[in-house]
Amino acid sequence: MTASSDPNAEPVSHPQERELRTSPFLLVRRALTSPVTIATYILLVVPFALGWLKTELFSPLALPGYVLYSVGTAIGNALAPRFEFWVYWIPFLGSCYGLAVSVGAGCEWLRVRSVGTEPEGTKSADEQRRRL
Amino acid sequence: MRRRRALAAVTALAGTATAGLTSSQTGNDRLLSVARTPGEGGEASTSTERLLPGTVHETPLYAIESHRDGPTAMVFGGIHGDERSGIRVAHEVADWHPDAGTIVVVPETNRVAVENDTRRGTSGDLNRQFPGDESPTTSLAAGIWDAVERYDPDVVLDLHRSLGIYGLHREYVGQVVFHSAAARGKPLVDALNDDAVPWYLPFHRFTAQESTAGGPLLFQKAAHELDAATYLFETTEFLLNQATRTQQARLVTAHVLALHGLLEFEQAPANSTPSNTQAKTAADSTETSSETRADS
Repeated sequence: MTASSDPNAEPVSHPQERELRTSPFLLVRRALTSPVTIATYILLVVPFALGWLKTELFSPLALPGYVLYSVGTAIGNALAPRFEFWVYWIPFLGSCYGLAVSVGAGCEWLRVRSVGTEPEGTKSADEQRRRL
Repeated sequence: MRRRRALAAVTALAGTATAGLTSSQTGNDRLLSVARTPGEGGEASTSTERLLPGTVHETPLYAIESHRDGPTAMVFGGIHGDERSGIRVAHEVADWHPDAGTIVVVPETNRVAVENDTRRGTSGDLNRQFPGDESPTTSLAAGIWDAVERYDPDVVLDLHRSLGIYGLHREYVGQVVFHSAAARGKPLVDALNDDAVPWYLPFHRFTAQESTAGGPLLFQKAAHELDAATYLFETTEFLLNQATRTQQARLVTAHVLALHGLLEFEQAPANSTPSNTQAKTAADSTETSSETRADS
Protein backbone atom coordinates (compact mmCIF):
# COMPACT_ATOMS: atom_id res chain seq x y z
CA MET A 1 0.00 0.00 0.00
CA THR A 2 1.38 3.41 -0.97
CA ALA A 3 1.20 6.65 0.99
CA SER A 4 -1.15 8.20 -1.54
CA SER A 5 -3.74 5.49 -1.27
CA ASP A 6 -3.49 5.03 2.48
CA PRO A 7 -5.92 7.38 4.21
CA ASN A 8 -4.11 6.93 7.51
CA ALA A 9 -0.72 7.79 6.11
CA GLU A 10 1.36 10.41 7.92
CA PRO A 11 1.40 13.83 6.18
CA VAL A 12 4.62 14.24 4.29
CA SER A 13 6.25 17.61 3.82
CA HIS A 14 8.43 17.84 0.72
CA PRO A 15 10.74 20.87 0.55
CA GLN A 16 10.99 20.43 -3.23
CA GLU A 17 7.24 20.58 -3.50
CA ARG A 18 7.03 23.82 -1.54
CA GLU A 19 9.69 25.26 -3.82
CA LEU A 20 7.75 24.18 -6.86
CA ARG A 21 4.63 25.84 -5.51
CA THR A 22 6.28 29.23 -5.09
CA SER A 23 8.79 29.16 -7.95
CA PRO A 24 8.24 32.35 -9.99
CA PHE A 25 9.41 30.60 -13.13
CA LEU A 26 6.81 27.89 -12.76
CA LEU A 27 4.09 30.39 -11.94
CA VAL A 28 4.89 32.49 -15.02
CA ARG A 29 5.03 29.43 -17.23
CA ARG A 30 1.69 28.24 -15.91
CA ALA A 31 0.14 31.70 -16.28
CA LEU A 32 1.20 31.83 -19.94
CA THR A 33 -0.36 28.53 -20.87
CA SER A 34 -2.89 27.67 -18.20
CA PRO A 35 -6.41 26.60 -19.25
CA VAL A 36 -7.80 29.79 -17.69
CA THR A 37 -5.47 31.90 -19.86
CA ILE A 38 -6.41 30.05 -23.00
CA ALA A 39 -10.13 30.14 -22.21
CA THR A 40 -9.98 33.89 -21.53
CA TYR A 41 -8.09 34.46 -24.77
CA ILE A 42 -10.64 32.46 -26.74
CA LEU A 43 -13.51 34.36 -25.13
CA LEU A 44 -11.95 37.70 -25.98
CA VAL A 45 -10.97 36.91 -29.54
CA VAL A 46 -13.30 34.31 -31.05
CA PRO A 47 -16.74 35.96 -30.63
CA PHE A 48 -15.35 39.28 -31.82
CA ALA A 49 -13.54 37.69 -34.77
CA LEU A 50 -16.78 36.01 -35.87
CA GLY A 51 -18.57 39.37 -35.80
CA TRP A 52 -15.72 40.96 -37.67
CA LEU A 53 -16.03 38.34 -40.40
CA LYS A 54 -19.80 38.66 -40.58
CA THR A 55 -21.70 41.41 -38.75
CA GLU A 56 -24.70 39.16 -38.14
CA LEU A 57 -22.53 36.95 -35.94
CA PHE A 58 -21.86 39.69 -33.41
CA SER A 59 -23.29 38.62 -30.07
CA PRO A 60 -23.20 39.76 -26.45
CA LEU A 61 -20.17 37.49 -26.02
CA ALA A 62 -18.28 39.74 -28.43
CA LEU A 63 -18.70 42.82 -26.25
CA PRO A 64 -15.33 42.62 -24.39
CA GLY A 65 -13.39 42.12 -27.63
CA TYR A 66 -15.48 44.78 -29.35
CA VAL A 67 -14.75 47.35 -26.63
CA LEU A 68 -11.05 46.47 -26.59
CA TYR A 69 -10.69 46.69 -30.38
CA SER A 70 -12.76 49.89 -30.69
CA VAL A 71 -10.86 51.68 -27.93
CA GLY A 72 -7.59 50.47 -29.49
CA THR A 73 -8.55 51.91 -32.87
CA ALA A 74 -9.62 55.16 -31.21
CA ILE A 75 -6.23 55.53 -29.53
CA GLY A 76 -4.39 54.45 -32.67
CA ASN A 77 -6.45 56.79 -34.83
CA ALA A 78 -5.68 59.70 -32.52
CA LEU A 79 -1.95 58.95 -32.62
CA ALA A 80 -1.58 57.91 -36.27
CA PRO A 81 -4.71 58.75 -38.25
CA ARG A 82 -3.64 57.28 -41.56
CA PHE A 83 -3.57 53.60 -40.61
CA GLU A 84 -6.38 51.42 -41.86
CA PHE A 85 -8.38 49.76 -39.12
CA TRP A 86 -7.38 46.17 -39.93
CA VAL A 87 -3.84 47.06 -38.81
CA TYR A 88 -5.14 47.20 -35.22
CA TRP A 89 -5.69 43.47 -35.21
CA ILE A 90 -2.04 43.02 -34.30
CA PRO A 91 -2.08 45.09 -31.08
CA PHE A 92 -5.57 43.75 -30.38
CA LEU A 93 -4.39 40.13 -30.38
CA GLY A 94 -1.40 41.11 -28.26
CA SER A 95 -3.47 42.99 -25.70
CA CYS A 96 -6.01 40.15 -25.55
CA TYR A 97 -3.20 37.75 -24.72
CA GLY A 98 -1.85 40.19 -22.14
CA LEU A 99 -5.25 40.37 -20.49
CA ALA A 100 -5.69 36.61 -20.66
CA VAL A 101 -2.29 36.08 -19.03
CA SER A 102 -3.22 38.54 -16.27
CA VAL A 103 -6.41 36.59 -15.60
CA GLY A 104 -4.50 33.30 -15.76
CA ALA A 105 -1.81 34.61 -13.40
CA GLY A 106 -4.46 35.82 -10.98
CA CYS A 107 -6.09 32.40 -10.96
CA GLU A 108 -2.73 30.68 -10.47
CA TRP A 109 -1.88 32.98 -7.61
CA LEU A 110 -5.24 32.33 -5.95
CA ARG A 111 -4.81 28.62 -6.42
CA VAL A 112 -1.31 28.49 -4.99
CA ARG A 113 -2.43 30.66 -2.09
CA SER A 114 -5.33 28.40 -1.31
CA VAL A 115 -3.05 25.34 -1.43
CA GLY A 116 -0.50 27.12 0.75
CA THR A 117 -3.06 28.08 3.41
CA GLU A 118 -4.52 24.62 3.72
CA PRO A 119 -3.50 23.02 7.02
CA GLU A 120 -0.55 20.72 6.60
CA GLY A 121 -1.56 17.12 6.39
CA THR A 122 -5.05 17.64 5.07
CA LYS A 123 -3.90 16.52 1.66
CA SER A 124 -1.49 13.84 0.86
CA ALA A 125 1.73 14.81 -0.88
CA ASP A 126 0.60 13.07 -4.02
CA GLU A 127 -2.65 15.05 -4.14
CA GLN A 128 -0.83 18.30 -3.71
CA ARG A 129 1.59 17.39 -6.47
CA ARG A 130 -1.29 16.63 -8.78
CA ARG A 131 -2.90 20.01 -8.08
CA LEU A 132 0.32 21.78 -8.92
CA MET B 1 -5.88 17.76 -21.91
CA ARG B 2 -5.53 18.64 -25.58
CA ARG B 3 -8.88 17.05 -26.33
CA ARG B 4 -10.49 19.03 -23.54
CA ARG B 5 -9.09 22.29 -24.92
CA ALA B 6 -10.26 21.48 -28.43
CA LEU B 7 -13.69 20.69 -27.06
CA ALA B 8 -13.74 24.02 -25.18
CA ALA B 9 -12.74 25.91 -28.32
CA VAL B 10 -15.40 24.23 -30.44
CA THR B 11 -18.02 24.86 -27.76
CA ALA B 12 -17.03 28.54 -27.57
CA LEU B 13 -17.25 28.86 -31.36
CA ALA B 14 -20.60 27.15 -31.61
CA GLY B 15 -21.95 29.07 -28.62
CA THR B 16 -20.96 32.43 -29.91
CA ALA B 17 -22.30 31.72 -33.40
CA THR B 18 -25.61 30.62 -31.91
CA ALA B 19 -25.72 33.65 -29.62
CA GLY B 20 -24.98 35.90 -32.59
CA LEU B 21 -27.68 34.43 -34.75
CA THR B 22 -30.32 34.43 -32.03
CA SER B 23 -29.58 37.94 -30.78
CA SER B 24 -29.14 39.68 -34.13
CA GLN B 25 -31.40 42.61 -34.95
CA THR B 26 -34.27 41.86 -37.23
CA GLY B 27 -34.79 45.41 -38.46
CA ASN B 28 -38.32 46.62 -38.92
CA ASP B 29 -40.07 44.43 -41.47
CA ARG B 30 -43.43 46.04 -40.83
CA LEU B 31 -42.19 49.53 -41.69
CA LEU B 32 -40.36 48.30 -44.77
CA SER B 33 -43.39 46.41 -45.97
CA VAL B 34 -45.48 49.58 -45.62
CA ALA B 35 -42.92 51.33 -47.82
CA ARG B 36 -42.78 48.61 -50.45
CA THR B 37 -46.46 47.84 -50.84
CA PRO B 38 -49.12 50.09 -52.38
CA GLY B 39 -51.45 51.60 -49.79
CA GLU B 40 -55.24 51.71 -49.80
CA GLY B 41 -55.23 54.37 -52.51
CA GLY B 42 -53.60 51.96 -54.96
CA GLU B 43 -50.39 52.09 -56.94
CA ALA B 44 -48.40 55.31 -56.88
CA SER B 45 -47.55 56.81 -60.24
CA THR B 46 -43.89 57.05 -61.15
CA SER B 47 -42.36 59.40 -63.66
CA THR B 48 -38.73 59.36 -64.73
CA GLU B 49 -36.63 62.22 -66.04
CA ARG B 50 -32.97 62.61 -66.91
CA LEU B 51 -30.91 65.21 -65.13
CA LEU B 52 -28.12 66.87 -67.10
CA PRO B 53 -29.13 65.12 -70.36
CA GLY B 54 -26.50 64.79 -73.03
CA THR B 55 -23.61 65.19 -70.58
CA VAL B 56 -21.34 62.66 -68.87
CA HIS B 57 -23.30 63.41 -65.68
CA GLU B 58 -26.67 62.36 -67.13
CA THR B 59 -28.53 60.50 -64.42
CA PRO B 60 -32.12 59.41 -63.79
CA LEU B 61 -34.50 61.02 -61.32
CA TYR B 62 -37.66 59.18 -60.24
CA ALA B 63 -40.72 61.00 -58.92
CA ILE B 64 -43.20 58.67 -57.21
CA GLU B 65 -46.47 60.39 -56.56
CA SER B 66 -49.12 59.12 -54.20
CA HIS B 67 -52.86 59.63 -54.82
CA ARG B 68 -53.05 61.67 -51.63
CA ASP B 69 -51.61 65.10 -51.14
CA GLY B 70 -48.70 65.38 -48.81
CA PRO B 71 -45.15 66.57 -48.46
CA THR B 72 -42.41 66.11 -51.05
CA ALA B 73 -39.29 64.26 -49.96
CA MET B 74 -36.10 64.08 -52.00
CA VAL B 75 -33.67 61.21 -51.44
CA PHE B 76 -30.13 61.31 -52.80
CA GLY B 77 -27.70 58.43 -53.19
CA GLY B 78 -24.28 58.43 -54.82
CA ILE B 79 -23.20 62.00 -54.15
CA HIS B 80 -20.01 60.15 -53.24
CA GLY B 81 -19.64 57.38 -55.81
CA ASP B 82 -17.99 54.79 -53.56
CA GLU B 83 -20.69 54.80 -50.88
CA ARG B 84 -22.66 51.87 -52.20
CA SER B 85 -25.22 51.38 -49.44
CA GLY B 86 -26.88 54.72 -50.19
CA ILE B 87 -26.86 54.08 -53.93
CA ARG B 88 -28.44 50.68 -53.50
CA VAL B 89 -31.13 51.92 -51.14
CA ALA B 90 -31.93 54.91 -53.37
CA HIS B 91 -32.48 52.48 -56.26
CA GLU B 92 -34.83 50.48 -54.02
CA VAL B 93 -36.73 53.61 -53.03
CA ALA B 94 -37.60 54.14 -56.70
CA ASP B 95 -39.94 51.14 -56.24
CA TRP B 96 -41.48 52.26 -52.95
CA HIS B 97 -45.05 53.47 -52.58
CA PRO B 98 -45.74 56.59 -50.53
CA ASP B 99 -49.12 56.73 -48.77
CA ALA B 100 -49.18 60.50 -49.19
CA GLY B 101 -47.14 63.11 -51.04
CA THR B 102 -44.28 62.54 -53.44
CA ILE B 103 -40.93 60.80 -53.16
CA VAL B 104 -38.29 62.14 -55.53
CA VAL B 105 -35.18 60.00 -55.68
CA VAL B 106 -31.85 60.39 -57.46
CA PRO B 107 -29.95 57.12 -56.92
CA GLU B 108 -26.71 58.00 -58.71
CA THR B 109 -26.33 61.71 -58.18
CA ASN B 110 -22.66 61.80 -59.17
CA ARG B 111 -22.86 59.26 -61.94
CA VAL B 112 -19.22 59.45 -63.07
CA ALA B 113 -18.02 58.84 -59.52
CA VAL B 114 -20.49 55.97 -59.13
CA GLU B 115 -19.26 54.32 -62.32
CA ASN B 116 -15.64 54.75 -61.25
CA ASP B 117 -16.45 53.66 -57.69
CA THR B 118 -14.65 56.73 -56.35
CA ARG B 119 -15.64 59.41 -53.86
CA ARG B 120 -15.08 62.28 -56.29
CA GLY B 121 -16.22 62.69 -59.84
CA THR B 122 -14.71 64.78 -62.61
CA SER B 123 -14.78 68.04 -60.70
CA GLY B 124 -14.00 67.21 -57.10
CA ASP B 125 -16.18 66.48 -54.11
CA LEU B 126 -19.77 67.14 -55.17
CA ASN B 127 -20.89 67.61 -51.60
CA ARG B 128 -18.76 70.74 -51.21
CA GLN B 129 -20.23 72.51 -54.22
CA PHE B 130 -23.47 73.93 -52.79
CA PRO B 131 -22.52 77.16 -50.99
CA GLY B 132 -25.35 78.96 -49.24
CA ASP B 133 -26.74 82.08 -50.94
CA GLU B 134 -24.52 81.47 -53.97
CA SER B 135 -24.81 79.49 -57.17
CA PRO B 136 -23.50 75.93 -57.10
CA THR B 137 -19.87 75.91 -58.13
CA THR B 138 -19.92 73.24 -60.89
CA SER B 139 -22.25 72.31 -63.74
CA LEU B 140 -23.10 68.99 -62.05
CA ALA B 141 -24.01 70.73 -58.79
CA ALA B 142 -26.01 73.32 -60.73
CA GLY B 143 -27.97 70.59 -62.52
CA ILE B 144 -28.77 68.86 -59.24
CA TRP B 145 -29.72 72.10 -57.52
CA ASP B 146 -31.97 73.01 -60.43
CA ALA B 147 -33.97 69.81 -59.82
CA VAL B 148 -34.10 70.52 -56.09
CA GLU B 149 -35.51 73.99 -56.70
CA ARG B 150 -38.10 72.66 -59.16
CA TYR B 151 -39.44 70.06 -56.74
CA ASP B 152 -39.10 72.41 -53.74
CA PRO B 153 -38.94 69.53 -51.24
CA ASP B 154 -40.19 69.67 -47.67
CA VAL B 155 -37.77 66.94 -46.71
CA VAL B 156 -34.29 66.10 -48.04
CA LEU B 157 -32.31 62.97 -47.17
CA ASP B 158 -28.75 62.47 -48.36
CA LEU B 159 -27.32 58.97 -47.86
CA HIS B 160 -23.64 58.52 -47.06
CA ARG B 161 -21.10 56.13 -45.54
CA SER B 162 -18.03 56.88 -43.46
CA LEU B 163 -15.02 54.73 -42.55
CA GLY B 164 -14.98 55.25 -38.79
CA ILE B 165 -17.30 56.36 -35.99
CA TYR B 166 -18.01 59.94 -35.01
CA GLY B 167 -16.57 60.76 -31.58
CA LEU B 168 -14.47 57.60 -31.51
CA HIS B 169 -12.29 58.12 -34.57
CA ARG B 170 -11.24 61.70 -34.95
CA GLU B 171 -11.40 61.94 -38.72
CA TYR B 172 -14.65 60.18 -39.35
CA VAL B 173 -18.35 60.89 -39.02
CA GLY B 174 -19.97 57.44 -39.12
CA GLN B 175 -23.16 56.52 -37.22
CA VAL B 176 -24.48 60.07 -37.18
CA VAL B 177 -27.57 61.74 -38.56
CA PHE B 178 -26.74 65.37 -39.24
CA HIS B 179 -29.91 67.39 -39.54
CA SER B 180 -31.27 70.88 -39.93
CA ALA B 181 -33.04 72.77 -37.16
CA ALA B 182 -36.44 72.01 -38.68
CA ALA B 183 -35.78 68.26 -38.88
CA ARG B 184 -36.62 65.57 -36.34
CA GLY B 185 -33.19 64.19 -35.67
CA LYS B 186 -33.72 62.87 -32.14
CA PRO B 187 -36.82 60.73 -32.77
CA LEU B 188 -35.18 59.50 -35.95
CA VAL B 189 -32.04 58.21 -34.25
CA ASP B 190 -34.10 56.73 -31.40
CA ALA B 191 -36.13 54.72 -33.89
CA LEU B 192 -33.03 53.76 -35.82
CA ASN B 193 -31.15 52.59 -32.73
CA ASP B 194 -34.16 50.51 -31.67
CA ASP B 195 -34.35 48.83 -35.07
CA ALA B 196 -30.81 48.56 -36.28
CA VAL B 197 -28.23 48.67 -33.49
CA PRO B 198 -28.00 45.89 -30.89
CA TRP B 199 -27.12 46.90 -27.32
CA TYR B 200 -23.84 45.02 -27.43
CA LEU B 201 -22.45 47.32 -30.13
CA PRO B 202 -22.60 50.51 -28.05
CA PHE B 203 -20.16 52.55 -30.11
CA HIS B 204 -22.37 51.99 -33.17
CA ARG B 205 -25.41 53.70 -31.69
CA PHE B 206 -26.49 56.60 -33.86
CA THR B 207 -26.37 60.17 -32.62
CA ALA B 208 -28.22 63.19 -33.95
CA GLN B 209 -26.18 66.29 -34.66
CA GLU B 210 -27.82 69.54 -35.62
CA SER B 211 -25.87 71.17 -38.39
CA THR B 212 -25.47 74.85 -39.11
CA ALA B 213 -27.29 75.94 -42.24
CA GLY B 214 -25.42 77.76 -44.98
CA GLY B 215 -22.49 75.36 -45.41
CA PRO B 216 -21.43 74.01 -48.80
CA LEU B 217 -23.23 70.67 -48.44
CA LEU B 218 -26.40 69.92 -50.38
CA PHE B 219 -28.49 69.28 -47.26
CA GLN B 220 -27.28 72.52 -45.70
CA LYS B 221 -28.15 74.57 -48.77
CA ALA B 222 -31.60 72.97 -48.98
CA ALA B 223 -32.24 73.79 -45.31
CA HIS B 224 -30.97 77.32 -45.70
CA GLU B 225 -32.68 78.31 -48.93
CA LEU B 226 -35.79 76.14 -49.06
CA ASP B 227 -36.54 75.84 -45.33
CA ALA B 228 -36.71 72.11 -45.76
CA ALA B 229 -36.21 69.57 -42.99
CA THR B 230 -32.95 68.06 -44.14
CA TYR B 231 -30.89 65.06 -43.07
CA LEU B 232 -27.46 63.73 -43.95
CA PHE B 233 -27.14 60.11 -42.92
CA GLU B 234 -23.74 58.53 -42.28
CA THR B 235 -23.35 54.83 -41.62
CA THR B 236 -19.89 53.31 -41.14
CA GLU B 237 -17.67 50.65 -42.62
CA PHE B 238 -16.08 50.08 -39.22
CA LEU B 239 -17.07 46.49 -38.24
CA LEU B 240 -20.25 46.59 -40.36
CA ASN B 241 -20.57 44.66 -43.59
CA GLN B 242 -22.28 45.90 -46.73
CA ALA B 243 -25.58 44.16 -45.92
CA THR B 244 -25.78 45.82 -42.50
CA ARG B 245 -24.91 49.24 -43.85
CA THR B 246 -27.54 48.86 -46.55
CA GLN B 247 -30.13 47.80 -44.00
CA GLN B 248 -29.34 50.84 -41.87
CA ALA B 249 -29.67 53.16 -44.87
CA ARG B 250 -32.94 51.46 -45.80
CA LEU B 251 -34.32 51.88 -42.30
CA VAL B 252 -33.31 55.53 -41.99
CA THR B 253 -35.00 56.29 -45.30
CA ALA B 254 -38.22 54.56 -44.27
CA HIS B 255 -38.20 56.26 -40.86
CA VAL B 256 -37.65 59.71 -42.39
CA LEU B 257 -40.56 59.15 -44.77
CA ALA B 258 -42.75 57.90 -41.91
CA LEU B 259 -41.79 60.75 -39.57
CA HIS B 260 -42.80 63.29 -42.21
CA GLY B 261 -46.08 61.64 -43.14
CA LEU B 262 -45.21 60.06 -46.48
CA LEU B 263 -45.65 56.57 -45.05
CA GLU B 264 -48.53 55.66 -42.76
CA PHE B 265 -46.82 53.90 -39.95
CA GLU B 266 -47.14 53.95 -36.24
CA GLN B 267 -44.81 52.08 -33.96
CA ALA B 268 -47.13 49.44 -32.55
CA PRO B 269 -46.61 47.69 -29.27
CA ALA B 270 -44.93 44.30 -29.52
CA ASN B 271 -47.04 41.46 -30.97
CA SER B 272 -49.65 43.70 -32.53
CA THR B 273 -50.05 44.70 -36.14
CA PRO B 274 -52.41 47.42 -37.33
CA SER B 275 -55.12 46.09 -39.59
CA ASN B 276 -54.23 48.35 -42.48
CA THR B 277 -50.73 46.96 -42.67
CA GLN B 278 -51.49 43.35 -41.83
CA ALA B 279 -52.07 42.26 -45.41
CA LYS B 280 -49.01 44.14 -46.59
CA THR B 281 -46.88 42.51 -43.94
CA ALA B 282 -48.06 39.04 -44.81
CA ALA B 283 -47.47 39.60 -48.51
CA ASP B 284 -44.07 41.10 -48.02
CA SER B 285 -42.59 39.12 -45.18
CA THR B 286 -41.25 36.40 -47.46
CA GLU B 287 -39.64 38.91 -49.75
CA THR B 288 -38.10 40.81 -46.86
CA SER B 289 -36.56 37.81 -45.21
CA SER B 290 -35.25 36.40 -48.47
CA GLU B 291 -33.68 39.74 -49.30
CA THR B 292 -32.05 39.90 -45.90
CA ARG B 293 -30.53 36.49 -46.52
CA ALA B 294 -29.34 37.52 -49.98
CA ASP B 295 -27.73 40.64 -48.50
CA SER B 296 -25.83 38.63 -45.98
